[in-house]
Amino acid sequence: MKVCAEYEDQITAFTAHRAILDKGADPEDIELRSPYPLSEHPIPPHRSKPMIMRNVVRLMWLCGLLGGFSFLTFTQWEWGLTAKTGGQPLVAVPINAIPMYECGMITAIIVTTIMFFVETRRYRQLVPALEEDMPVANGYIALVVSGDSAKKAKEWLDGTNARSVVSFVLPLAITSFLMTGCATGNLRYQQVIKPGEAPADMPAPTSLRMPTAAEQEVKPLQPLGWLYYGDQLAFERAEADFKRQEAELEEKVKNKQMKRKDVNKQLRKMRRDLDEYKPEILLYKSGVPSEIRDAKNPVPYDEASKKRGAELYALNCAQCHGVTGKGEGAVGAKWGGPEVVPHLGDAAKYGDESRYPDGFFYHNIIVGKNLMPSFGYKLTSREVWDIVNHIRELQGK
Amino acid sequence: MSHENLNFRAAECSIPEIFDAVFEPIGKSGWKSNIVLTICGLLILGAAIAFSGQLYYGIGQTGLHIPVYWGGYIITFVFWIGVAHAGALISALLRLCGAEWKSAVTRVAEVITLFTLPAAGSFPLIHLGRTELFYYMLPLPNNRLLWPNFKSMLMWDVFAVSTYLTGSVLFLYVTMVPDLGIARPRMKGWIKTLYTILSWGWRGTAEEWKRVMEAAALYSVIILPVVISVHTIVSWDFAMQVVPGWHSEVFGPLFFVGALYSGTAAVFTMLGLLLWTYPGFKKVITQVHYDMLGRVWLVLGLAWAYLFFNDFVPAYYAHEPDKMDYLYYNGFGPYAAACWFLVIGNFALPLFCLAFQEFRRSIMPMFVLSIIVNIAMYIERVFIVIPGLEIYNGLNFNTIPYTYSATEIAIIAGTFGWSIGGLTLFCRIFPILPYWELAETKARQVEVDMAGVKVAYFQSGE
Repeated sequence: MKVCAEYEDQITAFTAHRAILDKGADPEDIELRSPYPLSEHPIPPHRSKPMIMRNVVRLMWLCGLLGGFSFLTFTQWEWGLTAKTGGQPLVAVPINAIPMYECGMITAIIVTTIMFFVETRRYRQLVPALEEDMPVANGYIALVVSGDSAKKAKEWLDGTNARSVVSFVLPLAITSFLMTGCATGNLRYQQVIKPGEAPADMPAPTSLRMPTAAEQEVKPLQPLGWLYYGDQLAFERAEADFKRQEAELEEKVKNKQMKRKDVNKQLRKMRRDLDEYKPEILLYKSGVPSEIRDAKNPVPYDEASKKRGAELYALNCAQCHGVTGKGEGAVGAKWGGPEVVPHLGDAAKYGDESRYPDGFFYHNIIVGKNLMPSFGYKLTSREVWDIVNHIRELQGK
Repeated sequence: MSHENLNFRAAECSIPEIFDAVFEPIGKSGWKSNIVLTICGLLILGAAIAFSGQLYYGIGQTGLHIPVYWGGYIITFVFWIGVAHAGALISALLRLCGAEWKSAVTRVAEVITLFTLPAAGSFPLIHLGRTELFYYMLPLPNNRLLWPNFKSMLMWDVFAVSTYLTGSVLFLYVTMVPDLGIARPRMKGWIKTLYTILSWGWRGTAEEWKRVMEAAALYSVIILPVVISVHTIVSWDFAMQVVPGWHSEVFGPLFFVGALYSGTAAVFTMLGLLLWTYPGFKKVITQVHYDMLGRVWLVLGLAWAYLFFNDFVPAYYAHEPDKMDYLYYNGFGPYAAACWFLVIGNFALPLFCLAFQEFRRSIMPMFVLSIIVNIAMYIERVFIVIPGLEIYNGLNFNTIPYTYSATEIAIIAGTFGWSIGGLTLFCRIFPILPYWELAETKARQVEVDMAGVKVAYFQSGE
C-alpha cells in the first residue's frame, strides 16, 4: 500500500514530512518526488543511501589515464623498430600525454553516466508511467509513503495543506501484472479521490473546482475495494481547458480569422483527446459493500434537497429512467425500453428500504451497474444523496 | 523616471505554465519546419551523391591541388568545431559559475553541439581521399603489429573529437532524462513510448535529483578541459606546420576563444529562430537572457580581438619577411574585400553594437548580428587555411588559386542541411528548453520588496 500526497511548494511538503516523522513514520518508507531539485537544505530524513559516484569517477579517471599510458607504451615496446632506438620509446613522453589525457577523460565521462544510472536504480521501480507520477508531471511536489508507515499515513497527512491525498491499495506485483495488459494507458489504483480540506489561508487553485463549504460537509463514503481508472483532477483541468479553447475558437470564427471547417476539425480532435482523460471506475467488489449499504443518508429529506435532486435527476438520470421513474426515457428505449430499464419510481419494488436502502442507490450511481455508466467522477457526494432523496420522492415516500 | 529592474529574474509564469510553454511544440508539425526539413533532406541527398562521386573518381574531384592541399573541407571542419564549442561554454561553464540565467539557453547550446560536432567530425574522414580505410586511425590490434602514428596531428584530432562527442552527447542525455521522466505521463502516442524508454523510469525522487546534480557537476568539470583540448589540438593541426600564417604560438588560445565567440553567435541564431517559430517561448526566454548572454559574447569578442591582433602585431613589429608577405597578401591582395569584411564583421561592428544594452536586449538585431559574425568567422577560417599555402610554395610558375569545386560545395551544403535539419527535428521530438532547470530557477527565486523596488534573489541549493 502506498499513500501519495500532493503539495504546491517545498515548504508545505517539508512541514508535512517533518510532521509524519514526529508521529512515528519510518524515514526509509518516505520518498519525496518533485519536478525540480529541492533547494531547501537539509531535506528531512527520507529513503536514501550514501552517494559514492564522485569517488568512483575519480578512481576510474586515474585508471583511464594509467590504461591509456600502458596501451601507448605497449604499442611502442611491442614494435620491432624500438630495437633500433636502443629500447627507447619512439614517441616522446609529452606527445604520449595527449592520447593518454583524452583516454582518462573519456573513461571519466562514461563512468559518470554508468554510475548515474546504477545509483538511481534503487529509486526507480517500474519503467511504465503510473498515475502516481502525475503530481510531479503537473508541477507539484509529492510525498509518497509506503511500507508499514503507509497504513497510518493517510490519517497523518490529512490536514497538512495537501492538494490531494491518494491511496494506492494494490501491491506492486499485481499492478505490474495488470500493466502488461494495458501498458499504453495511465492506471490509477486508488481507494479514494479526495480533494482535501482547503484551509482558510490557502488560495484555492484556479484550475481546480473545489467543492463548496456546504458540499464539503457531506463527506464521501470511503469503502475498501473501489478502484478508479483515470485522474479526476486532470480531467477537470482538461475539460476547463477545452471549454476555454472552444470559446476562443468560436470567437475566431465570429471574427472571420478561421474557417468553420477547420475549427470543427480541431474541435473533433480536442474532444478525442479529452476522452483519454475521462475517468471511470475500473473495478469494485461484487455487490454493495456493507459499509455503504448500512450508511445513513446524511442529507436531510427536505424540500431544498428534493429540488436539487430533481434538477440533477433530470440532467443525469431521466434520459434512461424517465422523468417519472418508469423507465420510459428516450435513451433507455434504445437499450430495450421499460422492460429492461429499472423502474426507480416503483414503490413496490425499490421502495422496500430493507432490500434497497439508500446506500444501494448511492453505490450504483457512483460506480454504475450493468449498462449504466459511473457518475462518480462528475457528482459530488452531496449531489448523489440529493438524487437518492429525489428517487424516494418519486416512490411517493 | 521608471526604475526598471535589470537584474535577472525567473520566468513570470507559474511552473505548470512553464511546462505548457516548453512542451507545446512536441509532436507537432507545421509547414515552416516541413519545408526546412525537405530542403535539408535534399541537401543531404546531394552531399551523398557528391561524396559517392568523390569516392569513385578520387580526391581530384575537389579544387585541391599542390600546394593548396588543405581547402574547403578543413575550413568547414574548423568552422563547425568552433560552433560546436557553444555547448561546453554555455552549459558547463555557466553551470559551474552558478549563473541562474543559464537555464533558458543550456540545452539549446548542447543540442547545437550534438548536431554540429558530427558534421565537423565527418570532414577529416571525407578529406582522407580513401575514406573506406578510415579504421586505420583506430588503434585496433592486428597481425602486423602496426599501430597508428601517435605523433600525427590527425590522430590527436580523432581522440579529441571522439572524446568531446561522447562527452557532450552523454551530458545532453543525462540532463535530459529528468525532463523526459517528468513529462512522460502527459505525453501521447509514440512520443510517450519514446520518453518512457529513454527516461529509464525516472521518478523525480530527492535522491535521484542529488545524483543528477552530481553527474551534471562532474560532466561540467570533465568537459571544460576536454573542450579546451579539442580546439587547441585542432589549432595544432596548423601550428605544428612550417607555413607562414600557420606557425604561430598564439593559435591555441586564439582558436579556442574564436570558437567560443562563433559558438555563442550560433546560440543567438538558434534562439532567434526558436522565438520566431514558437512564440510561446517568449514567456521563458526573456530580454534579460539576451542581455546576460550578450555580455558574455562581448567579453569573448574583446578577448578574441586581442588574440587575433596579437597574432599579427609581433610579426609586424619584427618585420618578419614571410609573415609580412602573408599580411600584405591578405589585406591588399586578391582577397582584400573579404579580409576587410572580416575585420568589420568580426570586430568593429559587433564590439560596437554589443556595448549598448538596448542592442543586446533586442532580438531581431542580435539575430542579424549573429549571422554576420558567423559569416565573418567562416571567412576568418578561410584566411587561416588558404593564403599561407598559396604564397608559401616557392614555385613562381604555380599560381593557380584555390576555388571550391562543385563536389566540395555540395558536401559542405550537405553538412549545413544535416545540422539545421537535425535541430529542427530535435525541436519537434524533445524539449529544446530544459524544463526542470527553468522550474528550479522559478522555485528558488525569492522576491523581497526593498524600498518599493522588487528585488529577486535565489536560495542556494545543496
